[in-house]
Amino acid sequence: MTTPDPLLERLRQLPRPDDIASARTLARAEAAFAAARNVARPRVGWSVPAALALWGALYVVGAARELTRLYPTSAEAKPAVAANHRGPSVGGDQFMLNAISNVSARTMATMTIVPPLPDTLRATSLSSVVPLCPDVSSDMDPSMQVVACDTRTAERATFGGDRGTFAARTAAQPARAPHRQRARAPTQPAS
Amino acid sequence: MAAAPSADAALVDRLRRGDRAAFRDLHGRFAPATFGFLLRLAGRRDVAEDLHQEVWLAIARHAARLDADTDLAAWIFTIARNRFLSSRRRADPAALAGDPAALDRRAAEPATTDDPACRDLERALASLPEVHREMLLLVGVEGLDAAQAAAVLSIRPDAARQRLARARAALAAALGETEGAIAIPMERKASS
Repeated sequence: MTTPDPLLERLRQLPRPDDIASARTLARAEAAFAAARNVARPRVGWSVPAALALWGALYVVGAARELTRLYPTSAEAKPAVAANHRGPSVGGDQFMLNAISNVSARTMATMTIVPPLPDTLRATSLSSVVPLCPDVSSDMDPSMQVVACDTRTAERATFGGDRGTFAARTAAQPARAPHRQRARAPTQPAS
Repeated sequence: MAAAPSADAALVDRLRRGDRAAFRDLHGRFAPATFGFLLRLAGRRDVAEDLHQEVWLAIARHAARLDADTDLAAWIFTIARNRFLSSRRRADPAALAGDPAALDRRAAEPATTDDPACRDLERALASLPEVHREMLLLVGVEGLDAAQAAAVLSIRPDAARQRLARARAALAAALGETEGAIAIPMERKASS
């Protein structure tokens, strides 16, 4: 490119064509330049670090709360019951098992108290565990959608039959169960 | 057209700061060149005007995010060339290539002078293949050096020099053919 080329010099002397839309092009481009400047700059500046900082803070708080829950302090580990009673009390028949006093508060929180079974359910079951069989009929009374059934009748149950069949059969069990053992009143010795 | 690097760097720095006066300076410095480049590539004034607007909108959208060492001429002519190639893919190719009427119109459109030498040169330039024409427009008309032209065309600088040599030979041949086509009847007339 150091030596001047006459042909290229002739090309360089060609006149530039006029652009009659130059002013309009400049106005539109200048507006686009200002808009791009206003939109692009602040978004990238702080949004990403702020989002990362917020995420980090939430992560730390959540981790601390979880660690506190998993490893409670000694004060929180004390059981909610009186732990000093070991063995029979002095004056009466109150007992506290030693095991209870050694159970941590976390274990105590998971213990549930099972209420005594009503008489009707106790009569249909041989054990203290009564399975619940949900019936999903949509047109039943909501209070009837969960019925108790006997485990011995579950094998004979036919699902997919008429609606209410299973519930009716289960409800009829107390009346016709042959193996039920009723509590007998103390009999009088034959005189 | 190729400006000093320090002048480019100062203008780029002002553009990166969002200086609207710097954008007007950029437009004043490069807009006539980009319009002439597009007009001589496309051969139609209406197409060139639309392309020119697209080019400067694209420049405006990206001017604030330039690297500090950007070569402005190479960057702007790259945008212009890419826009032209995209529009040519969308357009009917018969309107710009292979049609003698389109060739005549393309040669006549950029002519802004009554100088017959310039008109012959425009016509010869318009008759060249596009690969030669764009190289001559960048280096010959707009004054870019071989490295800048190579950057615009996405080729190596030595390949750009070879392409420039072939394009220059093709232009010389086109000018010779034009002069020969005029001279041949005169010779036949003299001989007859």
